[in-house]
Amino acid sequence: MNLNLELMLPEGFLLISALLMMVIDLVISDRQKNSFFSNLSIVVIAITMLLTSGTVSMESNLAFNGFIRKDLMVVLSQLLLLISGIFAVLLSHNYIEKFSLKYKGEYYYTLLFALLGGMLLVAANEFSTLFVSLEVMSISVYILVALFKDDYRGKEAALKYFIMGSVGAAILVYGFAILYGLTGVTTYDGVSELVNKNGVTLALLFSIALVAVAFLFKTGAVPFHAWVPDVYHGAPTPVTAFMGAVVKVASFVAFLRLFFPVFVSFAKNWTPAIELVAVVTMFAGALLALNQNNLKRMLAYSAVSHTGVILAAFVTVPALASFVVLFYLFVYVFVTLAAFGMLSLLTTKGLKGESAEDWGGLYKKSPFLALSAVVIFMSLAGIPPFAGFWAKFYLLTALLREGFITLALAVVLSSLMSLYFYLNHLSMPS
Amino acid sequence: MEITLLLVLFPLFSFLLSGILGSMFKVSWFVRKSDYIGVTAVGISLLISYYLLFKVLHGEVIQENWFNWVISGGLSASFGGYVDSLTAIMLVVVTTVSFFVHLYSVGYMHDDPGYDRFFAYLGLFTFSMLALVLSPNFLQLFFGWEAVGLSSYLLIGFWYKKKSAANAAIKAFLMNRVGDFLFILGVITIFWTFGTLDFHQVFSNVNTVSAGVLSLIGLLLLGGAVGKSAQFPLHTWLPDAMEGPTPISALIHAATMVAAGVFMVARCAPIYDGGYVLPVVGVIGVITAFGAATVGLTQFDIKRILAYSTLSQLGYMFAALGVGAYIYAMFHLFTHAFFKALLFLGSGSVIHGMGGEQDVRKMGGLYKYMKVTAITFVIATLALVGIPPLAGFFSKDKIVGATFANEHHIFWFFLTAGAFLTALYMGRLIFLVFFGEERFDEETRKHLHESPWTITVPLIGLAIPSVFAGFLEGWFEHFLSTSIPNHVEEVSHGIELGLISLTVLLSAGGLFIAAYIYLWKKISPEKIASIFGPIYTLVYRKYYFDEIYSFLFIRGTGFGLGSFLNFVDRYIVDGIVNGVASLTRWSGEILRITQTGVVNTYVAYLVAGTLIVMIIIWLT
Repeated sequence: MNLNLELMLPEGFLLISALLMMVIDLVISDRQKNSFFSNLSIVVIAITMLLTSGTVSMESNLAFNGFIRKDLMVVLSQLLLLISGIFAVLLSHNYIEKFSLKYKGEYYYTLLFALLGGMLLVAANEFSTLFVSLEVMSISVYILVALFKDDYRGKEAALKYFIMGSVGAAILVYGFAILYGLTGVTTYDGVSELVNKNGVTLALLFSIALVAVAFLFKTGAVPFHAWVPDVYHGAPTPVTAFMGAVVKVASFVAFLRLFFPVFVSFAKNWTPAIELVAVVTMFAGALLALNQNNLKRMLAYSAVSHTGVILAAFVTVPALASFVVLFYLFVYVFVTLAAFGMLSLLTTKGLKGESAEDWGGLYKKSPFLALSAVVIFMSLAGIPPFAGFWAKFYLLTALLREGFITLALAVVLSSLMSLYFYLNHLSMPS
Repeated sequence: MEITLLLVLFPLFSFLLSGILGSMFKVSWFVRKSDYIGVTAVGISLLISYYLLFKVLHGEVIQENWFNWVISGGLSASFGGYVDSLTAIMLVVVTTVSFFVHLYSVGYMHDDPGYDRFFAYLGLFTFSMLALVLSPNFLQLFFGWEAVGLSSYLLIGFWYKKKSAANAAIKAFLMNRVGDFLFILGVITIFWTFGTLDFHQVFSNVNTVSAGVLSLIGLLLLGGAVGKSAQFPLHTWLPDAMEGPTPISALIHAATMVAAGVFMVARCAPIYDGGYVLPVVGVIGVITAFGAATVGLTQFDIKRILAYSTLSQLGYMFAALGVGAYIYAMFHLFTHAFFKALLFLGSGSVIHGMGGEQDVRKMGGLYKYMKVTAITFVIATLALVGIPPLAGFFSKDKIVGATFANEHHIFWFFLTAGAFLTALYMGRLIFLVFFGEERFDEETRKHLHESPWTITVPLIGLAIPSVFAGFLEGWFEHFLSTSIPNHVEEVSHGIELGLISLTVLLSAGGLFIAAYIYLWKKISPEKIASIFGPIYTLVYRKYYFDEIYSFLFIRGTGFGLGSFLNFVDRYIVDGIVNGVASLTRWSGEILRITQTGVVNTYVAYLVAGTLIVMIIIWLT
């Protein structure tokens, strides 16, 4: 038995804090709850970040008998998740105040649970751990989406998300089951060793396809994306920001962590499918956003398009892919948080901002927000010198270096298309 | 700091201070102070030029690198200063004339609201021209070439509210564009052939390149020279450029910038000697020299007459280049710079005194009122006509003699005839302006006065070299032979003397005939015009060049090419662009239909997608 519990200190702290919050929620008066819990959540996440920083190591360490793996990439992604969590909490405070949510305590500790799920998801090194942490995260987010009372759209979104998520989970479990059947073990290392020994079999290819589809679904790739606009649109905006940042980063990192050690030797079998999905996703996302009048839906489609771009990086060699994907996510998280944060701010300030027409003359009403919008959209579109440009730049460099000209071209073309709707939105007449 | 860099920086500072602080931001300390700044800056440049000339006279060749602009692969582009005897002469000419013009402008432009802007542009021009002549490579040459073009454009259009001035500026700019396009092609061909743009490396490698390629380079560069020096067939912009203030006509459109073409061809002598282009240079020069002289006979605007005279004299320089007499071309450039600048400044003084009148038919007898102007103007006229021992006699005679000696007898014939015409139109000009009866009204007479000292001092200052510069001939030839060749055959003294006598006689005869017609009124000019009838009209309308160009290029491109391209752009290019955009939007609309909002469909997509992914993975 090799538990290595000290490695799990951040997750443990987060878990215990969230559980304690459930208890505190019962004794504290309702009027104080919002401020108290949002401050407490920030403190908890900040301490978790400190603890996580303590686990930074250049080596790869195993915990829980190899069910959890912590190396630099994992810890960095966890920190990224936690930062996103802080921003989501900050956004939530005003939103909850404005729309007088009844279940304030529940909202915050559910958010912490979702964060915990995300942290475990990126660290997972075993199939059942992966599945459980994915479900912890997903179910928490279903709840967050549905939590606002009298919010018809939110409820509908939550239901859709739940149904779709369940199908996705079923597909994932089915894939795992086949793999277990093939190997009899569930740790990545064990499975990797055995499948490599056995070579390509039809059953293995089926399981790879199923696992891939489950992750493509979670990250919102076409044609598994259909839930994205409905859920992003229907969810309360801070929750949308949380989904766009935390759920996406966690899913992508888990995807990368699973495919690269375990299925890397069959890369030539699965890359064409990923490539195709990537290209279809970036174009479909951009095209769908093109005629979108609702800013929140437009951002959702833009998120789909970005998923395609990130997927394109998956085909480059493992070392490059990890760096490029992580860097892209790093930039993308902040831009996404900023975008939805801006939207949330507009809503809480009483300025309507979701429909494109509301945007005309925003500069006169709120110059700061209008300028932020310019920066955010430019970054999303990948215009230099904004961060989004550098993310795309490294991605394109990696693609070109490995000779994926077509993919690089697709990235450029789809970015060009997306430029249209970002700029179009900025140029709304008043 | 490098001394040559200092030389160009002073005028640049003058430009920046007067332009940005004085004219643009109107900082009170600098408003209407640009005369001090400009004159001082160019004065310092003048001193540095003479210092450099002095150093070169002692056998030094100065080669300085200011900074490297681009070093990339095979291309190294640097800016620097290269001073050999050719450059030293140009530096002296440019800074001397520029200094006098600056001084002159203090008086001439005194009441203009754009005073600071004017001096700023003057500084910009002087900076560009110095950078041009100092260039050690073709890139800097091109930079200077374009920069003088820009300053010329700005100064022709100085009174931009006047429509004719704005149009003239655009015309000059566009005509130069034609030449400059060929010029940059030439520079590119040089880089492509030699792999470098450095003068020294290019010229020392010309014998490794075939004569055909050298001819191509020579022709392309010549295109630039023809545009900048206003030679046939790109000459039409120069007479119109007289819309600019008169000091500008003196500095840019007579003495320095328009001579840049001659300087460039002389600098590239190794390239021209290696190719077959020289006869072309000569033919262009002779056509311009003779043709412009004829037009000069028929014009009535004092500055336009001088402009055609400039064209004609530049033609002489090109003719000299064309027979391989590079040094004679440069010598004529040298002397011409002084007396032609003097003529323009004198005409400015006349216009100033006449209250803006430029028509020679409304002048006459001005000698009584403005003696300094008249005397210096007559000196310059005699120098231009080539009356010994004034400057023009030496330089023009050398050119005419060289065409005869090198057995280009047709060139010789037309240049000699041109000398006669020069005397005729210049005689006509001075007799109409300074002598004879007064043809202006009382109102003008009351205001008629000699110009202030800032105007007359430059006139006197330029009259001195106009008289004496010719005596430098022997020294000049020896001095320049260190940097450029001079291919002139020896002829016997008898023939030489005969030729000189012939041209001097013809020139004197021309002046006499002019006096006969315009001073003594023995024959009426109208009668002569009616004798020549259609020929007179042809010449008076400047051979219809403006009309032909207007028809061919403005109408032709406007209606022919223009409407065709309009069609292509509007229906084909825009059609494709808009078509792509519509197609994209339309596909977006179609895709939107798939977003039903119904979970059943979503699950169906999911299952279908899963199957597709499975099939793809299975098949690969």
